[in-house]
Amino acid sequence: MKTDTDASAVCAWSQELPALLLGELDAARAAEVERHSAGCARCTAQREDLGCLLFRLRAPLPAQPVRDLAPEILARLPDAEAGWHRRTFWFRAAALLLATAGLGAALLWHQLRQSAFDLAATVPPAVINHEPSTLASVPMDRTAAVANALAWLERTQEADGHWDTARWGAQRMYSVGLTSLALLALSAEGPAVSPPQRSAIARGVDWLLAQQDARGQLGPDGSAAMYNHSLATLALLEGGALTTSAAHRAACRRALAHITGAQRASGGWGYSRGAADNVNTSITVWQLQALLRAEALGFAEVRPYLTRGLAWLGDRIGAEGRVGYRRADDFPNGAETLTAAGALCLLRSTDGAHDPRVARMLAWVRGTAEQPATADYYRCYFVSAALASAAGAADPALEKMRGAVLARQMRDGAEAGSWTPGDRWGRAGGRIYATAMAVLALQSG
Amino acid sequence: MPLHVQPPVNDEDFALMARLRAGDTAAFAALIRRHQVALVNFFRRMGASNEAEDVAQETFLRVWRYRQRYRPTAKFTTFLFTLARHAWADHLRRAHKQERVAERVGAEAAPHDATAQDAARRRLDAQVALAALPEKLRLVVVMSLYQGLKYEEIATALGIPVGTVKSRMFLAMARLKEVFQAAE
Repeated sequence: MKTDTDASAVCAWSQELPALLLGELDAARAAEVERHSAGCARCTAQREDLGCLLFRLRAPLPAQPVRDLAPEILARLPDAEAGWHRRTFWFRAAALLLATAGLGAALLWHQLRQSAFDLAATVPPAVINHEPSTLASVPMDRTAAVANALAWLERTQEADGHWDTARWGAQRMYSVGLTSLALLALSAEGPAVSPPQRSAIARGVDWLLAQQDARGQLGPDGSAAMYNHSLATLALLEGGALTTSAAHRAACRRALAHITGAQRASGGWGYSRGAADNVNTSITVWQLQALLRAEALGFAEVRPYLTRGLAWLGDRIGAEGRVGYRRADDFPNGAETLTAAGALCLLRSTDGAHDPRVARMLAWVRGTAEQPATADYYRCYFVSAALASAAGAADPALEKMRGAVLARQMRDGAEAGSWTPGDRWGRAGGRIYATAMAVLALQSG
Repeated sequence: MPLHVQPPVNDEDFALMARLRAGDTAAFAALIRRHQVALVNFFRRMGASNEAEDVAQETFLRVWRYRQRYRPTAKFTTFLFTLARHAWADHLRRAHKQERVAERVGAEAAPHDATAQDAARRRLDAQVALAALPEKLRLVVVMSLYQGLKYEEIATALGIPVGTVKSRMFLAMARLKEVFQAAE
């Protein structure tokens, strides 16, 4: 027979000892176990053993550095998502097949049952057919519109990979920027992009890289240079240039260095030939977008420039949450687009997302989304991206604005799938700009 | 009846997951960098060596895939280690790892002669002792001792009652004591 002094035996209380030593018991239970173990030789011995055991187990692992996994994981996302979509497709197809078989069996059973009791009370075919067709047509709208738009972009690409500004009513100085916008729209489809469109992206990326000069700048000098360059950098990063070759990766690095090199002492960016203090939010937000994307893809070296750039942007946010052009109270072209673009930058940055002003900015942006009467595809893109980043695609204001964008798409004729450039930026960007921006507004989120 | 205590929520993880749910890859990268060391070490403790980073990558890809399912009512680490547990189980199934771990532990923890015993004693450390545990017990020990998860969080991650976590921990400690004693 075992006694309380027999230290080799196991006391029922000992089951509580690991939890006690690991701090898992609440205060009352811990005190109870402590009181017991103080007077129990078996628990005292076991507690001592357990302490030694935990000490041995907590020996640190041999130091082995852990590589930064983020770049590899992010690079794997497109393939991984494609795999999930394939599996999901087949899973849904199988589920649909089973459901259809089940529905068929149920209907058959129902009809047999009806026929047995009341041959006149059969289910009208129209009732059966009505609901599935209605449900299927609703989610198809945006998907079909995007598909048509991307098909239009694909067939209007020139053989060498660029989009011709003169042909589509845009200013030639924006050739690099507009090609980049078209590539961004195509790339936004991610793994769902079709093989021909993937080829179109590859041709476009090659064309953009051919525009890079010795300084790393993508596109010619001039007043559009920083817009062109940041958009092209973003298009290269999104278009898979990092994964195609070491030369492409080096080109991306040079493009990023050109952006960081162009940052002014204040932290913002401006026209490349402007005075040192001539910086503005419009140019700055595009540089920030490129750097934020680069950081997400593993270019940690851009962080100091991002921090300064975001601080500059933060100083342009007014009390109401609106973002000004050069100062917080400067709105030469309105505040809607810049506020949405500023909110988007903050939402996409690690530190900015915690900025308490973001909520005010978004509230203001959401108000502008409720006024879709004036087509402005540039504004629509930023508003859409900001709201989708903040709240996902279910935001009613976002859906309303997207509905207005969808309504303006050309449904037939030679340019079916595109958008007519009728807004204030249309004379600069033409049909390529309008279509790319509209489709980006529909895709974001 | 005890009140259900809401686990503390890490604001940083919560904010990053909110952005991640909107598809923000920058937030995803930040989240990876916050947890990659803990996760890789978790898999190393579970018995992975060279493949620890691969399984960690697979776990993070699952975080991305299931980001819409995360609800900020629990700590992010509970969500992360739930996915880590599944990734680890899939890894074991693919690689028949369990048999190899058992063989290795058998070779090291039950040597046949005195020379081998001495060598085994020198080699026996926490890592080898852990490998001697059955998978279910090892998960509880690694999550508690090395990842700092509370019993309640482990219970959520493994889908078992808290009482089962407690009893598995007790059994694990008893087994580990035997392993160390056998090697001495």
